Amino acid sequence: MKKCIAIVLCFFIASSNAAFANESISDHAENTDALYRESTGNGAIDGAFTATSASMIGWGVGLALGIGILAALLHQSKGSSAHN
Amino acid sequence: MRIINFLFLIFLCGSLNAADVFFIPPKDWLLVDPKILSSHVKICFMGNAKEDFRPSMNLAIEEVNVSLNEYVAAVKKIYGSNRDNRFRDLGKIQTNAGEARMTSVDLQTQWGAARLMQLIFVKESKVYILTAGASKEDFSNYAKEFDKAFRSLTYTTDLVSCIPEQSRRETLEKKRITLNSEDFQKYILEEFKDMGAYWQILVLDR
Repeated sequence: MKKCIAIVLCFFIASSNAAFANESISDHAENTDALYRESTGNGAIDGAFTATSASMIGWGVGLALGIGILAALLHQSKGSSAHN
Repeated sequence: MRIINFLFLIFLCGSLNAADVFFIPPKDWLLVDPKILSSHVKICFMGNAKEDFRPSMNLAIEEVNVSLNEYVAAVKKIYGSNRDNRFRDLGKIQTNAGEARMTSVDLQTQWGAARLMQLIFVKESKVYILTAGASKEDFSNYAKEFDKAFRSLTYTTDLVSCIPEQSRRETLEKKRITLNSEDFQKYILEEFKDMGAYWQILVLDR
């Protein structure tokens, strides 16, 4: 019985060896890294989008908040998140 | 329990030393409702001009694990995916925060040709993108204001230390303790217009 368990255990350890993997760890790291880098730059794109779209949206409601109002809004949002 | 207290102290120190980045927008520009801003954009100011395409400046922040050169390359690749865009790397620019990179992109929008200049600054695993935009035709009218605002970009862990005069710094600290929140707000708004609206907002948010 013990021999059977040992053999089965050895089999599972051997089969989980990276050498048998379809994708090596280095490949996986490279792919993950590439995916990460593809999302890099979104800040610049958001800035560009805001610069081009806000100009026209601004003609409607919501433009030109007073600083005091904005500060109050920031306080309120911080307070509610702290409460949560 | 000791470990929890220790972790809390580390968190608190991190919060206390959290850095702020701000810039001084052009004088009398309007603050845009933050609800309409894109996810990475923290603040946006808009000119009071009568053109259809009003000039604006906004600051976006992105968490990254790349260098400045790598970030600029990534941005260039994104803009380059559209043939109508014309991207240019304008090189280094010195700001209050330190050395940054200036880029320019001309692009077509549904409202006509637009020009954007983006200042890119990387520090402590974050990239700060200060974008100035206007129609391509009118961009040169705002070049001086944009340049001044770009160079005013400041990175600090102490907003009060950015005030040039020591007497004003000391008075502010005293007023912070003695005034109620409403009077303190009025004080900041009236006495520190030279520091710009964004600095005022950050101080009032503390």
